Amino acid sequence: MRLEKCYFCGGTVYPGHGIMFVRNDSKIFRFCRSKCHTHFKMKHNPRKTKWTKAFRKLAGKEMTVDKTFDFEKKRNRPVKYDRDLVSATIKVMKRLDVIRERRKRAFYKNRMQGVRAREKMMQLKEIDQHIDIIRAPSALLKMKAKILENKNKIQSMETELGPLNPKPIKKSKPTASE
Amino acid sequence: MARFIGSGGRHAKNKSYYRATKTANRKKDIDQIWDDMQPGKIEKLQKQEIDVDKPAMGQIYCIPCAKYFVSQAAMDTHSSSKPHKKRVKSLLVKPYSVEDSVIPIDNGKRLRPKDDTEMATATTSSA
Repeated sequence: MRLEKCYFCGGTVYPGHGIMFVRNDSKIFRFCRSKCHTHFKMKHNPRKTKWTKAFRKLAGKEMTVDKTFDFEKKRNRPVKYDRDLVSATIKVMKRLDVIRERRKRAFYKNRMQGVRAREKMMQLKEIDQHIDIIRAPSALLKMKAKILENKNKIQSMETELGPLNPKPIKKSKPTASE
Repeated sequence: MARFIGSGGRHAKNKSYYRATKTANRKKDIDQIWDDMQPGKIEKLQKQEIDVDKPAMGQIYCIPCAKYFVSQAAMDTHSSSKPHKKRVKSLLVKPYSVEDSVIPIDNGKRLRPKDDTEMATATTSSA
């Protein structure tokens, strides 16, 4: 039994599931469901579709470098049945699942670090910028101290977490001489 | 027609849509074009042999779009068009291919709560 990978979403394709397309240059495309197949037929780019593994990998949302992935290999040589080998393999598989899950959690925790604080900063900033929408001008005069306090809070948070939207470094366009 | 362009709904009775979505009518994929643009292959496409069956005897060819043209003027109009520019831009980086899809990645399997307790015991026993 061989478990294949879906071309579009990167999910596992189990035997008896999905559809296979062989292009005229004999490249094999496997799809886990008609949803993925349709996206392929429409020539959509999996790197630009948010729910695919290709997108998540590119966006740094998935653990990509890990020793536990090295066990997953395409082996084209059949192995003779050996009772001890089977039991040992199953034992290792269960152990690997546990290890990978633990590392996955650590990765997620690391990725989400500071996200809540950033969200709060964003909300405070929004209040600061659009205070005139929720309070009347006459009421604002009485709230001067509170507004100032909010501004100081944002500033201290900004120094701690860095600016909210760091400006991307502009790439210089290649000139004709290059 | 591999890409569906046109009016009407996206349903099987719409002829242009129906034909566009058939894999039998597929045109060259972008990863195939990327392979065409590699040194060794691109020279062959730039200087093609005379073929009477092709438009302009196969002498005027746009490599990024994999298209033949009848005249240089038609080619120039095409080169300044938006679809062509889009194509060229998408070929700046290596397109997604089958090789990218088979790289091992976590398949999203989550351990059940029952396994979770096993996990805890396994971690303590290993430590």
